[in-house]
Amino acid sequence: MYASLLTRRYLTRRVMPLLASMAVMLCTAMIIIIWSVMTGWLGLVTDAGRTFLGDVSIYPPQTQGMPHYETLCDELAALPEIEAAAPQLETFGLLSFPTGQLQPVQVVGIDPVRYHAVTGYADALFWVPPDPPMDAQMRSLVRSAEQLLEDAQSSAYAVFGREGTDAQRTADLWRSQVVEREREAAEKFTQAARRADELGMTHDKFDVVEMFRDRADAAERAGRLAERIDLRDPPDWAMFEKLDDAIEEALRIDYRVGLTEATRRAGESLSLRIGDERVPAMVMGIEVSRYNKLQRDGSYIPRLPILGETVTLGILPVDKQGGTMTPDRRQIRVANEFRSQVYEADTRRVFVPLAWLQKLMHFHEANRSAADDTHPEAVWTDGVPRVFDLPEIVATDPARITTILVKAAPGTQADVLRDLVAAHYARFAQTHDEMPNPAFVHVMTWRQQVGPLISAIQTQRTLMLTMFIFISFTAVFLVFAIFWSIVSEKVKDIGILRAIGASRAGVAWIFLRYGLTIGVIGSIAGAILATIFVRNINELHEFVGQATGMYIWTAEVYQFARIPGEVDVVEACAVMAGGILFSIFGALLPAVKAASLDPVQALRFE
Amino acid sequence: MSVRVILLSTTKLKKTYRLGRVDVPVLRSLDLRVAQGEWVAVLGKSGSGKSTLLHLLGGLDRPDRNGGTILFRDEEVTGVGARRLNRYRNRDVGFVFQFYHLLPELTVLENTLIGAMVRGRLSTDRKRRAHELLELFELNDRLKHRPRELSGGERQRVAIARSLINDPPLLLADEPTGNLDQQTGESILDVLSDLHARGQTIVMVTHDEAVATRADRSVHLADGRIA
Repeated sequence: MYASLLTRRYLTRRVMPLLASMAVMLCTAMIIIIWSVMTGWLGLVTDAGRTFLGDVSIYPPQTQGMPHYETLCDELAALPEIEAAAPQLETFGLLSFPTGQLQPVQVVGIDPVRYHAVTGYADALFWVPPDPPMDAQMRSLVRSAEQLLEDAQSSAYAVFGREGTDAQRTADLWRSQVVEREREAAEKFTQAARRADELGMTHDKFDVVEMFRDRADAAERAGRLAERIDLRDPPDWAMFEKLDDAIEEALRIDYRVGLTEATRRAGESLSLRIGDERVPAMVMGIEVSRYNKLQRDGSYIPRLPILGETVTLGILPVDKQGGTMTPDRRQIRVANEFRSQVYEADTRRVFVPLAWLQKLMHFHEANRSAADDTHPEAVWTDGVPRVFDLPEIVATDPARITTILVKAAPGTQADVLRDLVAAHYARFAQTHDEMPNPAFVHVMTWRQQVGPLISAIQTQRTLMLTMFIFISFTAVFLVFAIFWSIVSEKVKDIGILRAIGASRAGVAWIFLRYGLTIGVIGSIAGAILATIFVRNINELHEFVGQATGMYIWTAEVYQFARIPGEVDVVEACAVMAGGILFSIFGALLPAVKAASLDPVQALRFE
Repeated sequence: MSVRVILLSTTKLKKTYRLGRVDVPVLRSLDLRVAQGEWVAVLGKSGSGKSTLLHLLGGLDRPDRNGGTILFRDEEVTGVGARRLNRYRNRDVGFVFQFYHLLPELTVLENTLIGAMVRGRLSTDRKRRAHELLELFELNDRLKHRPRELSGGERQRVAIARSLINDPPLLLADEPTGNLDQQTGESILDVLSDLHARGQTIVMVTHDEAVATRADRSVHLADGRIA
């Protein structure tokens, strides 16, 4: 009881214990914060690393590919342990942008619906359509407005470029083909804005209604400029440029307009509607084009519009023996971008329709003809081809892919699934022609594939924790120094207590209890501080960054815009227990010293 | 003729201090008997071993090996274990020091009660006893005060109250007036006289003959023995 009283009094009457508690608090908070952030980062990397992998992947030899994949995927998906399976075709290519920029890329051909079922790919699509998306009426209004503006622009160039024409006729032409079209376009954009408002159309990145109003204003401005323009010779080119800029502004397919075409529906993600038909399109990593600028808050501002743009993809097909074939290149439009937060994927990967890529790589289904010497090469005589019979088709080479991704059913462990898939593949290969030898087919879990990266971060986490725990030993020494000085100061008190019957253990307990109390107070305060810190770490980071201009965590380096961190209760308790133990260790020697003091000497101490 | 019960006795008590390589004998075969209810003053010059004797009697220090015995109520104090000795200091003996030796962080009431707290759970009886003692010593309006807010005399009265909290049979006072002016010293002696009158056994160390006159008897310590 006296130990409790004295501990309380020693604690409340001195600055030193406060300092010791603060040291313990800071060390505890420091370790909890480091642990939380590193664990959070590891969690994010692990989750992100899994994004496009599924739980288990089957990799046949790259050049050979794997035929009969549809059947295999269907069979796998029918197993109770498997939720979905998707084929994938991978190669490397060179992407050429309209700006002239070239970018080596990893080209991945997918069936977006099946791929989404395994990887949740559509969730990574970055540009999202407004909610709800444009309806038919609105789409028609926007298309008409854009068409009118394009026509008006062409007419304006035609009229201005015409020489020596009849002024009145030109003025009439100008009014009907430029001014009125622009006004009509403005009206249609206004109606589109009204329709967007009626639909309650919202978007997480901009105000849809406002966007269409801006376009209507720009078209209206173009109409006013067109009306005022002087058509007499020589032409007023300065005014014409202003007019052209206004039309461009109204017409501009900026990123916001592109977004109205973006889709999050997996099935539509790799195509774009051009006129009345849908054409194959590409989805690329958010960093592939370099058209987008990453903001500190993790958002992207498009510097140039990429959605809807046409890019050229060149690849070098490889035959089954690994020999190179004639390089091929195709144009394809960009339908969307994705953000997986996996650096390699976001900067290098593009998705294209599986069938489209199969054709480009000569992995598509193809007829095989018999070698027939009776059919000579085609000979052209006098510009007229000689007609001869086509070679006999003796077989069909099935389409091939390079990977099958498998998603486990809930409750199935990836390791178990891997063995199951490997066994199933071995059986499947025996019953189907041309299947790659199971000995050369790798079946891997997602963890095996991202293992090196996760291990690196785990090692880094352990290293940092070890370093900070060593740093935290300073708290032990601080507590030790403070307690040593307190014991030295309290020698007389110890003598008095011994004189009135306190045992050595009793005296030691006062100081151990003192250390324990400091440890408990410091650790609890540290845990609270760490929790507050971790919960507001991004705001604090921003505040310090703004004040000093120094940002420690950057999205470019860590791939994640926001600093991760969630205080784990068990980890926090472990750190707190460590803080308490450290404090007791710090108090141990001074307590032993106090207990071993000779009471007579202590009473005589001055 | 009344028979007086011997409360405390020493036989051939020896204590030697070692200063560097030199042994300095302080007590040389000292014999002393203190009867129950007796007030004994131990007189002697500075360095004569008065305080050493008091520390040995109070169980704060131990005599030399084969350095005699101390009996308290016919039970040996010198050879017992630490646990028994702690208990002896807590329950059988009360100490009053020249420099009061109060715990500065505690209030008057807490200083008074500290011995009871060391003894174990604080009972209502002990609390009542503390209040009685502090009232007896006219300190009941100073319960919440800390030692630095008290005068020397008040501090010494608190020290006496503390020494009596567990109702020890023996009170050991080491120069209880040595740090006080004459008037205050007299008041402290009055307190001790009053306690003595109530049957308290007191062994008081002093170098002041006048102070010693308040005791039942005085013994002179010289050359490590009772002169």
